[in-house]
Amino acid sequence: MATCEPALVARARHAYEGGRLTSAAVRTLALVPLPAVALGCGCQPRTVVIAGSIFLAAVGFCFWRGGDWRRGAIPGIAAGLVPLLTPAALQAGAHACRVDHCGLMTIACAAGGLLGGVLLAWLAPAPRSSGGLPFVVACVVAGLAGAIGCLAYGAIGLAVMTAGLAAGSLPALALRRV
Amino acid sequence: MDDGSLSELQGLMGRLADGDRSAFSRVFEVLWPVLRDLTGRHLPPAEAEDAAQEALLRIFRRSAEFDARRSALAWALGIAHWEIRSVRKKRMRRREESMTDGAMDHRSEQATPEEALLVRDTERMLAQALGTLASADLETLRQYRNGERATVAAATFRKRVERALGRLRSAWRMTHGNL
Repeated sequence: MATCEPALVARARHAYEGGRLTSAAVRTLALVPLPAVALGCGCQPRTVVIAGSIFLAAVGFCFWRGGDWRRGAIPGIAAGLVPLLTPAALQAGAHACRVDHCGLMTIACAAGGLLGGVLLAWLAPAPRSSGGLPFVVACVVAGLAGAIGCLAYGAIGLAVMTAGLAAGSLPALALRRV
Repeated sequence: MDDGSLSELQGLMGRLADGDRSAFSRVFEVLWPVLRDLTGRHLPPAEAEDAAQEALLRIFRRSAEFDARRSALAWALGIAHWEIRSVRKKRMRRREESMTDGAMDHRSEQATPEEALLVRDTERMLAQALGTLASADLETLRQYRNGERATVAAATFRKRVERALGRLRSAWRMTHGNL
């Protein structure tokens, strides 16, 4: 490296990061329909937009960083789809109710979280691999995706979904003997 | 490049595509001389350095797309060859433009008897070469010289001009040797 022009090295590094950023942005854009589905199913627009933006920013960051971050994000997205889509599908199906006291939606969040948790334990990298980073990323991304669908039902929606994720993933993780 | 470097490059490019920044410096060190040698073999020195740099930047920009199942060296050299072709095309266009401008300048300047003789001689040789072309090519070149708008799409017209100029060059070489 000592013989190479420092300016060219800097330009090459800049090009590399720019290329990764573009690639991450393109892949993240493909996920925009997920918050849009929740939005289209009658969930509160403000919470969906906020939760969706945080989710997309987190996923975009993971794709840009690559490596363990990307390896964790992909199973996290897959697992988070369940709690994201379950309440949205129910709301779109027929059960239109006031969001502040709709017990069925809270149950849907919990059930979605539970199923998502099982999926998370099945798909996510082992908790001890690479210092645990991919597993933590997978959990965070799954939680953020689930929040898009469940935050509309208040803090209780978010709490039961998170509890469902934990309850679903822990036994399965124990079975994997990690 | 020996087998060791080749397999090292393959591993490094895979890591770089995966987002491992620690592979960057070594990829740079391995690829840069290879690209400089390649462009140096195909282009004059003034253009070779620029083309090698542009190819290197393009490789790093696209490294996230690299598929580790493919050969890293073949992938990088493919990008470099594309850059070499682009530089050659640009050079050819510049030459054609300068030839056209040069011909117009000649007409407007006061030429010495020797220059006038040279121009007449060149024009006679050009007429001979043009005489071997098909009428469609002659019409295309006439439109191109006069800057007339063709009735066909711009890209089609550009292709026709390229082909007609290519045939004219071949005809010139056949009758008068190299340009």
